[in-house]
Formats: sequence, structure tokens, C-alpha cells
Amino acid sequence: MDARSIERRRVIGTAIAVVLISAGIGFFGHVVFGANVSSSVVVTATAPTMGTVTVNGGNNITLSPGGTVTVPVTAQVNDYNGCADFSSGTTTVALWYSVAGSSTCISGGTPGNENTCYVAAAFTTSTCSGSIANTTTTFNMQYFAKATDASSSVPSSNWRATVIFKAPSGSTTSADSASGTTPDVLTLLAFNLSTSTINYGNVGAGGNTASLDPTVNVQNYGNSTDGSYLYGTAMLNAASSTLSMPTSSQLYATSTFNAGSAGTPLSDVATTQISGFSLTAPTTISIVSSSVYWGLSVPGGTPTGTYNATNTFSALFVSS
Amino acid sequence: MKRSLYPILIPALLLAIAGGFFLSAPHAEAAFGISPPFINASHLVPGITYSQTLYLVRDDASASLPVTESLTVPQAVQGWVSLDQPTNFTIPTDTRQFPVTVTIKVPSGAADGTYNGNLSFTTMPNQNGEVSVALGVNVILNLTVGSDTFEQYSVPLINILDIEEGWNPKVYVKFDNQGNVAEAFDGATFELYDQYDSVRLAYLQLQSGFPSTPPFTTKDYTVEFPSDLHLGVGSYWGNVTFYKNGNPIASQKMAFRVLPAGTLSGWWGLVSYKIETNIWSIVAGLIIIIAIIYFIVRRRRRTYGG
Repeated sequence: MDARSIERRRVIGTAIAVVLISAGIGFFGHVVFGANVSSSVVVTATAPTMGTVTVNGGNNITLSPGGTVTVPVTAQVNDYNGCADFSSGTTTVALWYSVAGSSTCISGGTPGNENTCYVAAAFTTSTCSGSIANTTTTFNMQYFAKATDASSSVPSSNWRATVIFKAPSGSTTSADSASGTTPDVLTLLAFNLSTSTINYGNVGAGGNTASLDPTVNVQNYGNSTDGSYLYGTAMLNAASSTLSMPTSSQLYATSTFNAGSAGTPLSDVATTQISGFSLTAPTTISIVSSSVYWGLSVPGGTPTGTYNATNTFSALFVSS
Repeated sequence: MKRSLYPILIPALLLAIAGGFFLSAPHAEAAFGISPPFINASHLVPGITYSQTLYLVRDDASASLPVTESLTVPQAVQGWVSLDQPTNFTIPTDTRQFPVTVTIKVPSGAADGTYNGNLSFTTMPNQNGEVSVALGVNVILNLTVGSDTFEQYSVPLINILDIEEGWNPKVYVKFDNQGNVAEAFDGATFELYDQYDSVRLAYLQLQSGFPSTPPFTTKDYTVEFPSDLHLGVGSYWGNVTFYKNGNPIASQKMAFRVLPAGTLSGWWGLVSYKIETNIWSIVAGLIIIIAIIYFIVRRRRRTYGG
């Protein structure tokens, strides 16, 4: 290797060393000889936001006769100040019949008029991650909640929900579920009977039950105004089915009566409607009911024995 | 009375009193109902099929309940109406809401007209006394056959689904077509925001490829919005709107998550994702491996000859 090559290598090596040392001085010198600068910031509260509110997963609501069904209202809340802030906030959730309106429902408070409105002061469940909270509020909807389906008096309406969240800072966000025709509370036609048996006791052939008037109280367990078909079968001798009394041996009325002189003979035609019988749609927890009174007139010559039959009350929709 | 009769009479008397008490106590069957109690199938046209689900409901499901159905319709529509249950069926124990689907198939050559009928469901009571009282419900059938085009639809539910890293945004849609012609969206937009719902990250559009929903049918499907943006693991907000004839029909704004690969699709999804995101590294690695093998084989041949 000649002297020129050696010299060239020495220059290059020196240059590399200078670069590296300079870089090291620049990096560490900034640290060793740099001045400390302190800083601070005050993070303020930011108003939360809310996603779309959904009622019952978008599905129509089928009520339970004489009882309640659970209806969930879901919403997502975005609290920029995190989950701790969300946990300290306050909530109002309302489930309301669209014609009645949200403000009327919310101002009415809890429990509200359960025919058209339900209000809760807290989410039933919520899970928060980061700044997003998934919330569910579950309402127990009564069997007399207002129907909004196609044959109701308000077919263009639906049930909606409002969710209001107020952060600890006082900022509020709210959202309503979509307007439109769904989800509906469906019309429910349902009866409950006070008894499933009618016992006439002992009646002689040619006799009747006079003013005994065994009673069947029919209760409206739905949200519609109803009438009723009433029909029955012939009364068959328990020991021998060839022996019977005609269906018309049984008598009924919507008020007390004497079977010897009054009462409507029971028919076996399934579309025989009870005259003057109507159960209006309930709007509160108070039961709407009407009684049907019974009597028996045993035809002369009827053999002795126990006679059985089946009478049927068949609910009939009138309006909702 | 002779004392020898007391051991017999007293228990017998007590038994008679107890028996009388229990036997004479009224027994109430469970409440029974139907929802809804009508089928209003208007706007039917020849050749169409219409279905509606009714729910038989009761408050006490501690026992099974035998039910008998009876259908009464005009002679002209005999054969149009069918149920998915036989004439006699049983609501099982622990079932409070029992669905019954009624299907109406209008023949191709059906004449215009309005037809009314009745469908009843009657329970079979336990025989507890001289006269048993049963409960039943009636469903009013109103059928109207014509030739008009009737459009009515709604979107009961839109849900922005959680996805995996590398996937396109996906939206679940429930489309309820209550009209007598098939319907479909013809446009949709998807706005993507960060987890704080403050910075818009992307704006996606779709103008075709929407599933069609047949008449009188509710259909569920998922719409995917292709995007070049790679979404990393985390939470995001989406605002989706569906259009028909240029008009917004339904929208939804909600947060969704992008999950690690394989969370929803399993191990194969994870493998596919790894391959997809590291394809060039994998190709380069394969080339290097092949080159090394080539040189080894070549060297061995030189060493050992042949």
C-alpha cells in the first residue's frame, strides 16, 4: 500500500471521527448544558356527545297479559373526560308514546302514566371504556301500554325514547330515538277468568238453579277494547255419554237473574256474541272486568247423574 | 252416640270439611291472549305471498297448554291461508309467547276483491267441575286483492359492527318491506371519526350492490364499505346513512371497535391477516431462503463433483 492511500485513509478516518464526536456533543450537550423548562396545562371539561338511541333493538313490543315485559333502551355516550367523569354524571331516560311527546313524559317524572310514559333516573347497566359508555335502561312495560300498530287508533305513531346525560361539569347531551312507525307496541287481546269451573250443585229434573247465579268474572288483561263470543257444548252424563242435556239448558246474563224465568240460553255456535258485554281498554293498573252470571234449567225426564260440559269465552277485538 | 263410633266419625267429619273446602275453591286457569288480534293484508296482488306472525301469550307457563285452531274464510279464498301449526297443537311448558305464522298465497289469477274471515285459537281446559270454562281468542282477517303498486318500508335497526384490524367497516341492516314490490337502498355513506367523535378520518360511499328485500318481508343483511384506510386496534365513531332515490331513509351514529386480528374470525383470520400485512417481507424472506439453498447446493456440487 503506497503513502497516498495511507494518507487518504487517515483523512477519511479523521473526518468520520469528527462527525461522530460532533454528533455526540450535540446530543449530550443539549442534555447537559440545556435549560429546564417547566410547563403546565389545565384540562377543562368538554361537553359529552351521544350516539343514536334504540328502543327494544328496533323490534316491535309484544305485551304480556296482565303483567309486564322488559323493554331495553340503548345508547352510547361519549364523555371526553373519561369514564370517571361519566360515572359521576346524572341521567334521565324516558320511554314514551310518540303522540304524547317526550317533554310531557319527562316532566311527569317517575313512575309516570304507564299507559303512555316510563321514566328512569339511572341506566340499568353501563360499560365504559376509554371515553365511550354503552348504556342500557330496562323498563317494565305494563300490559295496558298504548298500542300503536296498524289497527290502533294511531297507526302512524310508535314508541320512542329520550336519553339525557349531564356531566359533572354541567354540560348536557341528549338524543331521541328515530321517529316513524316502528317500533310499535302491538295490540294485545287477552282475557283472564276468575274461575275455570261452574258448579250448579244438585238440581232436580224439571227444576232450575233459581237465583243461585254462579259467576264468572271476565278480566281484560290486554290493551284493547273487547267483546266476547260465548258458546258451549251439550251437558254429557259422566257415566254414560249417550245421556245428555242440551247446550241451551245453561242460561246466562250480564246481571243477576232467576233461571226459572230469565237468562239467555247458551248456544253451541262459536260466533255467538254476548249482548251488551264490553271490556274497555285499561289505562291504569286497575282491572277492567265484567261478570257473567249463570243458571241451569234441567229438562223434565233427565236421568240422574253428574253432567259435564265446556263453555268457552272467546275474546273479540273491538278497538285499541 | 256410642263411644265406639267416635274414632271413625271425628276423622271422617274433619276429612269431609277439608275436602269440601278444597273442592269448592274456585280454580282459575292462566290468562290467555293473542298479539296482534288481526291480519290486515291490504294491497295484495295476484301471485304474491304475505306472511304475518301472531303471538299466543299467557301469564302462567308452568304447564303445557293444548290449543285448537279454527279458520273460517270465504269459499273464494279457501286454500290461500295456511298456518305453520296443525289444527291441534300444544304450547310447551315455560313458553309465554308462542309464535304462529300465517301465510297467505294469492293465486296468479286471483280476482280483485275484499275478503274477510276469522281465525280462532281455543284452549283445552282441565276438567275440574261440572262445567269447565275455556278461554279463546279471535283474529280478524281482512284481505284485499288489487292491482296497485304499494310502497311502504322502514328500517327498524342499523348496527355498526365491531370488526378486526384490516377489515372494512361493516353495517348490519334490518329492512322491513311492508309494500307489494321489492325494495332496496340505492346509496349509502359512512363517516368515520376517531374515538372522541371529533376528527373525521374518512368518508366512504356506496352506490350499488345493496340486497333487495322481497314484498311483505323483513330481511337482515350486512353492508361493507370498502376503504383504503387501515384501521388500527381501538374505538371509533361511525355515522352511516342509507338513501333511496336521493333521500335519506335511515341513519345511525354509534361507536364501534376495531379488534385484534383473529378475535372474531378465529386463528385462520389471524394467519390471513399476518400474511396480508407482511406479504413483501414474506416474499423477500422466501427469496433469501431460496438463494441460500441454491448456493449451498451449488457449492456441494463443486465440492463433490457431478
